[in-house]
Amino acid sequence: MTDELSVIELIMGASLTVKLVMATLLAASVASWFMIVQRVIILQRANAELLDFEDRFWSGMDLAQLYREGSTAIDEGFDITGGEALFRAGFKEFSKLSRQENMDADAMVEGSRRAMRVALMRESDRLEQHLPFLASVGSTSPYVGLFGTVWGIMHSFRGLATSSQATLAAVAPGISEALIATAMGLFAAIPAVLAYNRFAAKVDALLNRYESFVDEFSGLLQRQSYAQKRDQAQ
Amino acid sequence: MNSDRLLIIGIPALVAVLVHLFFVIVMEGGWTVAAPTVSAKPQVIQASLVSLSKADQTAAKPTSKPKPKPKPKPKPKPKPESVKALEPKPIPRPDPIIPEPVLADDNKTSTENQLARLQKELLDGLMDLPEAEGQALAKEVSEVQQVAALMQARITQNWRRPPSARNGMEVLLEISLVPTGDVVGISVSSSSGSIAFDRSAIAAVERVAQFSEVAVLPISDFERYFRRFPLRFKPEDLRY
Repeated sequence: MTDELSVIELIMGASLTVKLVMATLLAASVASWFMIVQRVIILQRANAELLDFEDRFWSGMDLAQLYREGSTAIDEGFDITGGEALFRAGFKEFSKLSRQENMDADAMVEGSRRAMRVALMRESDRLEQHLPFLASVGSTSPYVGLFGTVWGIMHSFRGLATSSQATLAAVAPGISEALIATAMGLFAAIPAVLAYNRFAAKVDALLNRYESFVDEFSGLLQRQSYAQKRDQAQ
Repeated sequence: MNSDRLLIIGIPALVAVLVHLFFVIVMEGGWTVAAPTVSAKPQVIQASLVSLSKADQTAAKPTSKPKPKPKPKPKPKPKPESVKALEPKPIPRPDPIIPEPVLADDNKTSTENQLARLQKELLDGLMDLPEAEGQALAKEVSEVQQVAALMQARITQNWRRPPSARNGMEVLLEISLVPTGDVVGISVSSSSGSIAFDRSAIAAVERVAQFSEVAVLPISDFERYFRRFPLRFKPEDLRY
């Protein structure tokens, strides 16, 4: 009588439906924590990468040189992502177009801009990966937990109906065990919602910086292309 | 690149599992913290329970003399059951001994003498126990048990059971002591269902008022076993 019910015992004693609900919630919770930590790492890296790349980009070094450095990095097996990927997409397209005869300056800029848009989309996909999962864990797992609880309480009251004397002790373990499902739902949902909001804001900020980089870079390219055309015309 | 993959998948997986493990441990630990302290004490107290009920008889007997004979027989049987789980050895000894002093002292009605003898018997029995079991905690446990036995004897002496007491009734009190042994709190943590019975148990502790025995214990043992401890009152010797 001095032993309190341990949580594990309670869970083991739960009905199959409640156990299934709990297992689902546990899996959702583990998965969402996995994704949370992964997102933290990826977003931090993307941020550091972008800062580093912008430093190099505006340091005044030759852009062709920058492009070549990236190519050797790819050959060595590194993944190029973030700002540098945008730069490479735009620069590659621009140099391809500028090699063609009688290319209009505007068309060249437009083409490289389009290439950078595509790269930007790819980046945003990469950064936003798994965020929808966090959102749905955050919004549905309290309901799933609640379902488990209602089901468990339903059962413990049904058991009460058949017994002749109604004591609190007859229903208390069942209710306690059912409430664990709600607790687990909340445990899964709260970090997921917090993380989703935070990550969504961070990804937005990063994408904005990417976009402004694209604009700045296409401004550069435009100047370059007009200078080229003028040289050719003379 | 491979190591990068590992970093991006391995670290989050590790952290996710650790977070959940930590939570489970905290929750399990948090829930069971109360249980170990309680279970350590019942050992001590349960031993006293058995003797409590017997001693209680001793207390009851001086007032009602016709009963002494029938009681000794029923006692041996119920007691081993309750005692069994904890310490089979010490209990059988005190049990046979207690009825004797009661009967012998009945005439003299010198409860002091009786108490002294009772305590000595319990002490001897308890001191033998750790050696027989010969294990790590032996010394500390024996000290604690000695003190518990003394306390139990004192409470037993002071317990007047109400007529409504029945076999199978059981009240669990939660006693708070300060290091001098003064009782600073008594609460019923599990009622027997009979208010008179519960009150008799509380009154027994109140009458003792100070358990000076605990002063001999090192403070760490006091904190561990007697700062708050459960005390069970359970008559098993009644015939009805």
